[in-house]
Amino acid sequence: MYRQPSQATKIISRLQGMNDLSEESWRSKLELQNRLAQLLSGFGYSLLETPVLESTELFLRKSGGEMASQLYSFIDSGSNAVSLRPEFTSPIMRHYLENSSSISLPARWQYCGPVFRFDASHPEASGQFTQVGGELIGSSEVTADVELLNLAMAVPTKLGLGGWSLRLADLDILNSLLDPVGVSDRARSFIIQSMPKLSEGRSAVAKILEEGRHLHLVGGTNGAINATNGNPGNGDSEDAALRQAVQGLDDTQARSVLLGLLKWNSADQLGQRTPEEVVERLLHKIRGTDSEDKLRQGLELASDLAVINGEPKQALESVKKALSSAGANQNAANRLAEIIGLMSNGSDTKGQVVLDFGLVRGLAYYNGVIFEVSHPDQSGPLGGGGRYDTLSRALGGSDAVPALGFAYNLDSLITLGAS
Amino acid sequence: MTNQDQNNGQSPLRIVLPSDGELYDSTLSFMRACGMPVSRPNARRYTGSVPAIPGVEVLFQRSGDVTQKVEEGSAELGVTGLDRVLEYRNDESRAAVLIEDLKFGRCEFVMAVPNSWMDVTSLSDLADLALEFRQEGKQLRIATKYPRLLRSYLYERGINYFTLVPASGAMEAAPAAGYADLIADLTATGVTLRENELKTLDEGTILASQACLIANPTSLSASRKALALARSIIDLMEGHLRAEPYYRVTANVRGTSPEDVSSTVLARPDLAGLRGPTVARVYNVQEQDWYNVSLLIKKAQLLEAVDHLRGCGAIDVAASQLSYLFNGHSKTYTALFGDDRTT
Repeated sequence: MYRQPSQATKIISRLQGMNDLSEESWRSKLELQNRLAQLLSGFGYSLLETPVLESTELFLRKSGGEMASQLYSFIDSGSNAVSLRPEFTSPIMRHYLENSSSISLPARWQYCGPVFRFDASHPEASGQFTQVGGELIGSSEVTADVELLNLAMAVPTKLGLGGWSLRLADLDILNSLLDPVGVSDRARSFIIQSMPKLSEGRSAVAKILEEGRHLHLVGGTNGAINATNGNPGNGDSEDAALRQAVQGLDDTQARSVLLGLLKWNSADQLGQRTPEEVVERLLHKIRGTDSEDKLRQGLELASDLAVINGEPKQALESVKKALSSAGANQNAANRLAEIIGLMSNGSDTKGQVVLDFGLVRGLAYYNGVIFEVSHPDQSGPLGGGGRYDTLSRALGGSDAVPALGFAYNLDSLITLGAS
Repeated sequence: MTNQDQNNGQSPLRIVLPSDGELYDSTLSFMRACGMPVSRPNARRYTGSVPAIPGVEVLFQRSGDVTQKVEEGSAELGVTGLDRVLEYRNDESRAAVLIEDLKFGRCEFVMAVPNSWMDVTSLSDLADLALEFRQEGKQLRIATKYPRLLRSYLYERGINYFTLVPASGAMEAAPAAGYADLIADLTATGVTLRENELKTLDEGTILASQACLIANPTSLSASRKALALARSIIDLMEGHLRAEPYYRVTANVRGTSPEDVSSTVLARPDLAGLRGPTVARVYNVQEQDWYNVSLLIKKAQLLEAVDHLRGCGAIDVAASQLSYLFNGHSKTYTALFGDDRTT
């Protein structure tokens, strides 16, 4: 576990990744902040301040992925699990869900303030940052995606920064490509996380498949894998017996056999699950949906998409080709074509837009369009965002509320010399 | 009181031992077996001493608090479960594990789900289910008393969607009571889990734990006296642990010369002791050529070794429990405090 270096002298120094700001720096930061607030206000985004401290649950539920392990998280004196916010999207969605009866959609919010991330494996990347951004909640229209992308491009332009590039990808397109293969959700999220490596092309598939085996993505559901390492767990023999029990039965018959078995066994301790859910998943599992072949096929198709990187209109042609050769639905690609057609990347924006399907965002809740803005003089991304239509459900909302947003690291913008 | 430091009336070395549960009895019998029986004049007092090593004070604390006591410097040494050290330790440099396996207090920290979850047999099933739950807006709730260990275990395996329900004691009932879907708990035999209709998962063992010895190197290094006492304790513990797997076997073998006897015994190098047999002449009135052979033998190989010695013509084969087996120097001690035997 990473710990702050201990103090040799009696003077207590500031924590790593935390900075003091002189009046001069503070004023120029405030001035920048005000200009961006003005820009966002011009697009109809109203200011919303949320607390720095929130229930840990809020961030665990949606962020998932790597963010969950990067929380400044602790138990307060009242035994509540609380965390410093690592980003604004979930607090803002929480605000909407708590007040939804009095808010008419679509709603537009902007924010600016400190966020905190603790990365034990990269202490130098830990600490406090200033995030500025906007969220558009309640619209699934193409125009919403276009509005948000235009706004994201307007930020560096407004600050006089040139030479930036916005990399754009679309998770719905990846999902339509994977749909015909029928991989499990977990395998799917593994494939999504592997997109940067898959951008090397099909040659990268073998190695990633190996990682998938290591994560037990195909373990237990595929006898062949365990036979090769000669070490089948108890669960595998259990599964094999059940597989035999339903052999030759159609799905309906198999369901009723398994349901009977479950009820006869002991179905009083299912917790939040229903017997039908257990049986459904069991059937899915013993019928071997996530075979190694399917994961390989999924990775191969994804790699065909991941290598696509270039000028949007040309790249879109390659995307459509990849989809049609896989026999996949073209709707998502057509939607993206519409968005790109409407994006206003005029000569005044001083940056470029590329379609890059090797892109993946650290947060696990995105669907649809995702993007990242970077600059050659800055190692990490300046900002990014995307669509997150499933977040509201994950946070306990009764309906799926379409939403999207973006955020910039204001400190990085300042370092780059925004004026 | 002669054992006191001039500073603040404390004993030169304090070792904190578990006061609760199975670890209490097993730690005391371990100390006895190491030749350091603990004297606790009154069962209601939370202090004691080690008469064999004057200057050592024993503090009794709940096994979950031992790590903290060592870390904060209330004691220089401590014995508790490795699981508790890894869960409760905040500063590795102030609570270093000196001997990781004291060969008692074995248990496993495992995840267990209801038997009725027929579809869940492995950790990968659980990961799948966590994702499924999330998509339905539900949370997978895990009851545990070791949130830190569990969380990092799950994160490392890419499982991020879960809620931990803090619990202590009798958490096997949590799924039945409905406040958690599954549990992560300590088990030595698995009996309690089975009785509560729970099953463990393949790849669901988070930690295999046992009792260990920890030390606060900073506070130990501050006092020479404490360091010397700590070395005695480490030496006796290590000597005992090293001796535990062996019997000392002696036998009288008839032969023409020591070389003759040793070569017959050495015909089976695996049964000829750590570095070969010690052979010494036996002087007797009959003036026959008898030699005494002495060996250290792994316990599991005892009968095999006896047969081998018989084959070499041995009689009067005796086997006895070894109390200590000391190394040239204590690796544990040297690794931490350097070699100070000359100082």
